[in-house]
Formats: sequence, structure tokens, C-alpha cells
Amino acid sequence: MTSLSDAAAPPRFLRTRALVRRMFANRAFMLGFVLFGFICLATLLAPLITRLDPNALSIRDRFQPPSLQFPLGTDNLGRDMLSRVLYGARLSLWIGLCVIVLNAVFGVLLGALAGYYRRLDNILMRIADALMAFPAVLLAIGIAAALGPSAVTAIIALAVVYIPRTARVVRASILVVRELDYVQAARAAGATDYRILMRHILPNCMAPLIVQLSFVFAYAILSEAVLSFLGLGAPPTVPSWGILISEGRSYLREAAWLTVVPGLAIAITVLGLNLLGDGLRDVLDPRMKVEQG
Amino acid sequence: MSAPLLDIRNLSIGFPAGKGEVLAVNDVNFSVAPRELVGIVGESGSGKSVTALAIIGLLPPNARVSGEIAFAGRNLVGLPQRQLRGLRGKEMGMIFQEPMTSLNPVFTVGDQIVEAVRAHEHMSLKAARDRATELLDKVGIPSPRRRLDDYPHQMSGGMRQRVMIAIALSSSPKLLIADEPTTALDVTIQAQLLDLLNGLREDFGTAIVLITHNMGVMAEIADRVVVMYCSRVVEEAGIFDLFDRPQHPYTEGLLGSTPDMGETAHRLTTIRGGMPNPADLPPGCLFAPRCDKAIAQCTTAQPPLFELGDGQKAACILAPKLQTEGAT
Repeated sequence: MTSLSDAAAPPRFLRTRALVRRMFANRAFMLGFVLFGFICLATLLAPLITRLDPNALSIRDRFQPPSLQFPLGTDNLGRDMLSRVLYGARLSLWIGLCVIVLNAVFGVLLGALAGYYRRLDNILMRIADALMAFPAVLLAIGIAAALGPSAVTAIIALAVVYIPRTARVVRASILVVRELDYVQAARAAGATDYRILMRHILPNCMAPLIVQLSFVFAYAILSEAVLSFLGLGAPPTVPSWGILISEGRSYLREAAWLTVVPGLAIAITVLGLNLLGDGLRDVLDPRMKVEQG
Repeated sequence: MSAPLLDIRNLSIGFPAGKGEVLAVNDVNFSVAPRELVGIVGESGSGKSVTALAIIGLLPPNARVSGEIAFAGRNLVGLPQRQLRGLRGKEMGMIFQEPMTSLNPVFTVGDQIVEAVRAHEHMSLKAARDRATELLDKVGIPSPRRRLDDYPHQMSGGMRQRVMIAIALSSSPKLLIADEPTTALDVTIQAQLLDLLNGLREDFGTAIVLITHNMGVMAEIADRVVVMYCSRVVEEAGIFDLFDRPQHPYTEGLLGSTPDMGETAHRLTTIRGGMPNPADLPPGCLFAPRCDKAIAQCTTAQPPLFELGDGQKAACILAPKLQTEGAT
């Protein structure tokens, strides 16, 4: 099939090869992919990039500005910032990943129940409204504070905050798809509710969900940094980006790199994920496409 | 006529509207014999599609149904969804108006036929695929084995409608309901599909209820026609009787507004006005306000369906009189 007829064909994300080609032709997706890919790769390859222990103290090397020996400088206890940022990424990305997995599972479950069984709709969506009425970070802080600071509470808190949003997106697309002719046709062919939902409705709701999850990933990393910064995330022995910023804050004037470096890491990751999400949305769901100059 | 496969008795279907209720189907009676092809014609909103949905049990939950839909001797009205689901797809199938959107875009055509085949019959994937190939062949799709792996968007509207028919026929149903199956297709494809439906009647022994507003389609394949107007049956007749001597002015109007290839061109007649608002019906005959032949009596009482012999029935007080006078 030529690219011309591809453009005319309806969006079908199971045609993998054509889809991948279109994704990488999308500038936003490409840039997001490169940025986020860079962060992921650096995180995975951390032991190869730096041989320094992120927690090794070296009082002699306190507040070293970036140099050959310490490419990103050292902190107030002489720990190497490069390895701290790289190992910190592990925790940040891991928390983000856990949050989107929880989001995918519960968001789809609740959204599907609300969208397909109209009787549950009102109950579930009012609960979602109630949760969404709180500012996201405030609610996460509240939950994390109630459960006590740890990486797991951060994950739970962020999942609770973002699941209603994902459920809404899923519900909205189910409401559209469930009225389509092929769903009615499946019903006329005697398919069960479960089958209609799993085979005919959910697969056709994937595009907005994937896009939503990419944004949730970005928000989760950002909010996790906020929680850690406030001391409600992972314990400080494990450096996450939020903790690094929090620790560096006291020395902002003398050693700006302590906050700038992890701040940049967060910015690059979130920017990359957002671009990735934008690109995915354009490719997977052209009807939602924002006009580009 | 042998024992009817489908026998609809006093079927009324109402939907809540505002404070009251609007009847979408009002006291409808007709029956379909095995292998028979019965057409239902009528304007949009005459209740023909709602009748079809009632037969297959897919009315929205707020519909209120009374009367009887006897299918193979079993009343479907009030039957629990679980049992209706067992009938759907197995004993009766349905094809829809829009072939372009009636197939799930994310699965191949083969997947969807195989799914339908295996929904009601336990068989291996391979056997189901063979059956799917056979079905595609039956509905006239060339090189069916290769086509199984096509996605719906790779097919034309006519081909997709053939696939829909193949899915509907996957379990050799006794009854096939076709809701305007050819409306969205161009005329040459229409004719092919009608031939196909007609042929399948022989091959599968399926009775068909064909819903359309196209009299030409009716003339082509229907055995008997039920004319619906404003939620009621106004005329029922064998196809030849209906075209030769329509007894209800509404049927006459429908026929008059259909172009005829045989005759020299003349201006097509139209039926003036539109259907009355179902929430605010006129007294007496519902067609009276639009009828050229209406007399004073027409606005006093709703005429019943008069039996006119040869299975022809019409709900017009003038019909029995016309019959005795031998006029058309």
C-alpha cells in the first residue's frame, strides 16, 4: 500500500508497520521519543556511565563544581551528582511506571463499568468528581501524609489521584463506541456483554487511553518530585529527583548545580513524555489533531 | 400457508415521552412462514425498524412491549435477555443498513466470522476458519481464503455487506432480519445483493424479513408486503396484489411516487404533507389528513384491517366498498 492511500484509510493501529512509520514521521513524537529515550537509556546504563557510588561520602570533595572528575559536581556531603541523578532516575521512573500500570488497570476497569453499565455510571462518576475536585498535588500530599512517607505510599497516592482522570477518558470513549453499528451488530449476533466489551468496545478505545497514560506518566514523575521535595515520598537514603532538589535547595546560592541538574532531568523527562503523548495523539486519533502551522 | 415461523400478534411498543408515552408500534399483526420473504415498507418513523428490533430483542430498555411475538412457537415478549441472546445469532440473524460501520475495524473479517461461527457452536479454530471460507464463498466473495485476512477498511461497502450476511448466516438461522440492507449501496450492487438474499433463501431455508422504503426492492424479491404507516399496519398483501390493486390510499401513494421503467415519463406523484406527530395524533384514520379520498367518516374512527380475500388486508373504510365495486 502506498503512503497516499494510507492517509485516506481510517486509523487502524493494528497495522503496526504503517503505524510505526507514521509515528516517526511525526516531529513531536520523534523529539519526545529521543528525549525520553535518552533518559531511559541513561537510567538503564547508569552503572556503565558512572562508577561512583551515589551514596559514597567524601567530605574532601564537598561542593565541587562540575569538573572532569565530577561531571555534574558534588553535593554538600561530597557525593557525585551525576550518579545521584542517574540512580535517582530509577526511582522516579519506577514510581511513574507503577502509577501508569495501576492507572491502566483500574482506569480501564472503572471506566468500562461506568461507560457500559449505565446504572453504575452515576455512582462511579460522582466519586470520580469528588476526587477530581481536589487539586491533584494537594490530594496526593494528603494521602501520602496519612499513609506515612515511603515510595509505596507515593505510588498509591498518585494512582488514586490520576485514576479518576483515566477512568473518565475511558468512559468517554466507551460511550461513543458502544453506540456504533458494529457493537449493535455483535449484539444482534448474540454476543455476551463480556465479549462485546472485551472484543468490540475496549480495543477501539485504546488510542485515547494510550495517549492519556503517556501524560499521566509525566504528571506522576512531576508530582512524585513534589511529594519527595516535601518529604512525603521515598526516604532520603534513596535519591529521587525530588529529594535531590529538596536537599540542594539550601545551597542554591553557593552550588546551583545541586538543584539545576535534577530539575533539568525532570524537565527533560516531562517534556519528552508530553511530546510523545502529543505525537501519539496525532497519529492514533487524527480527529483530535490540533491544527499545526 | 404452513405453520408460521414468526407470528406477531397485537404487538404494541411504547416509549416514554414527556409525561406520557408514545406508541412507536401500535397493534401490529403479521406472520412469516418458513422460507418466506416478507417486506415491511413505510416512511421513516413508521415503526418498521422498531418492529425489527423487537423481533430480535434489541429494543432499548425503556421500551414497553405488549402483545406477542411467537417465534417457532415460543413467545419472545418478556423472555429474559439470557434466553434471547441464545436465539440471536443462532436462530435469527440481523443485517444492518450501514455496511461501512457494521464491522469492527480492529479485527480482520475472518476473525469476526470465526467469532460468530464459534459463538454458537463448539469447533476448532481451523474448522471455524474453513467454515468462514465457505461462507464467504457462498455470499459471493472471490478468493475467500485470502479475503479472510483483510481488515474491513480494505473492502468496499458491497463486500462488507456480504460479510455481514455471511456472519448472519454463520449458524444457518431460521430467520434473517434485514434492516434496509441495500440503502447505503449503489444500484448495481443493490441488485446483486438482492439476488444473493433470494438465493440464500433456497440454500439455507431461511425466512427473511426485509425492511425497506424502496418499492422497487420489494417488487424484486418479496413474497408478501406489509405496509406500515405511523406505527400501524395499513395494508398487507401478496406482492402481485399489492402492485396490481393497492387498496389503501397510502400504498397507492407510495407506488405512485416510485419511478416506473416501463411507462413513458410522467410526473411522479407525491404524498402531500408529512406524518403526524406521534405525540399528537389526529382522530380517526391517521392517514386521513393527507388522503385525497378522505370522506367525513374517516375522521371519526380508526378503521380496522379489513380482510379482502387472497390474504389481502387494508385499513381503509373505502377498501371493502371499492372491492365490491370492482374499481381499483
